[in-house]
Amino acid sequence: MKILIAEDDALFRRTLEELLLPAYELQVAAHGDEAWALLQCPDPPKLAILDGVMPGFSGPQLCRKIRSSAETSATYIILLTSRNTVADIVSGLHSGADDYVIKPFDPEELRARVRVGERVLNLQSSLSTELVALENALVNEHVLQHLLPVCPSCKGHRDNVEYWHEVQDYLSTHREAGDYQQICLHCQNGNSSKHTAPAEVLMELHR
Amino acid sequence: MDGDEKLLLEILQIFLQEYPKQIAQMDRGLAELKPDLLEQAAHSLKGELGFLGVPEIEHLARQLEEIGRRRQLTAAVDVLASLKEQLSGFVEIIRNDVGAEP
Repeated sequence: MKILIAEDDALFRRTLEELLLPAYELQVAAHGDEAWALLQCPDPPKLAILDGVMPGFSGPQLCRKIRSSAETSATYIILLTSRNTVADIVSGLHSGADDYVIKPFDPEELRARVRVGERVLNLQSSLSTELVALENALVNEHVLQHLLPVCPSCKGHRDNVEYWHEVQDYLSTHREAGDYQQICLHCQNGNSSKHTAPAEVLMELHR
Repeated sequence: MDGDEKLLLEILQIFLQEYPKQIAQMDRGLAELKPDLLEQAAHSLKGELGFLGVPEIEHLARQLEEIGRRRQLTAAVDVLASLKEQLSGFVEIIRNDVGAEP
């Protein structure tokens, strides 16, 4: 998985790299605007670790930008903050961060929080895969509803439990299929013999 | 030398490269009456010192950050002097650790 690290302090940048390599593929930025540019590239990182205070865009400013763009809005964001007052944490989360870690961080805690993010992202992606499969299944179901096994000889139809019925019975219990009974023009004219060719019926209808 | 120890030495080397820039920025903040410069540099230094586990010096950096935020530069002079003094003692210790030239 690809992770973006946006941190202006060389010491923390190096530490984060060391903690996350080689388990993750990293993209590293030292400024907020550089981080934003990396997120605009094709196939951007799905998880971002953003320093709260850095030149260019600050962590919370970047959070808002990420959330407001369709391409990046699903990014999992961990905000690094050295301020540990409740107000700073709350405003960080309000800006769109999913989680926060207070600097100086414990290496194991940071790794564990990244793994939580990875888990959430995997869950999100499997849910959206299932959603697509479900949508496809619904489309197929819709088509199946309108497929009717009909006997070419007696014109009866077969139900799900292998019984054969008159087509009339099927239509009267499946009204969602639309108007199920109409007397055609040919029969209205009292003609009980077999129908004429379709072209003639159409001509009759348009008259 | 295991991986953690190697990383620590690398981190200390980065600190030795970075801290003079932060001290210089704080000096410039005072000289040019720009409290923002003081605040930013003190903020970075505070984070690094906290990470390296030196709370006494981190506390001074925290004070300088606060002074910068309140834009009370005159209060910074003495605190900055103490910070520099304590930092030079710390730097001497870590220079020995990493085997760097003073």
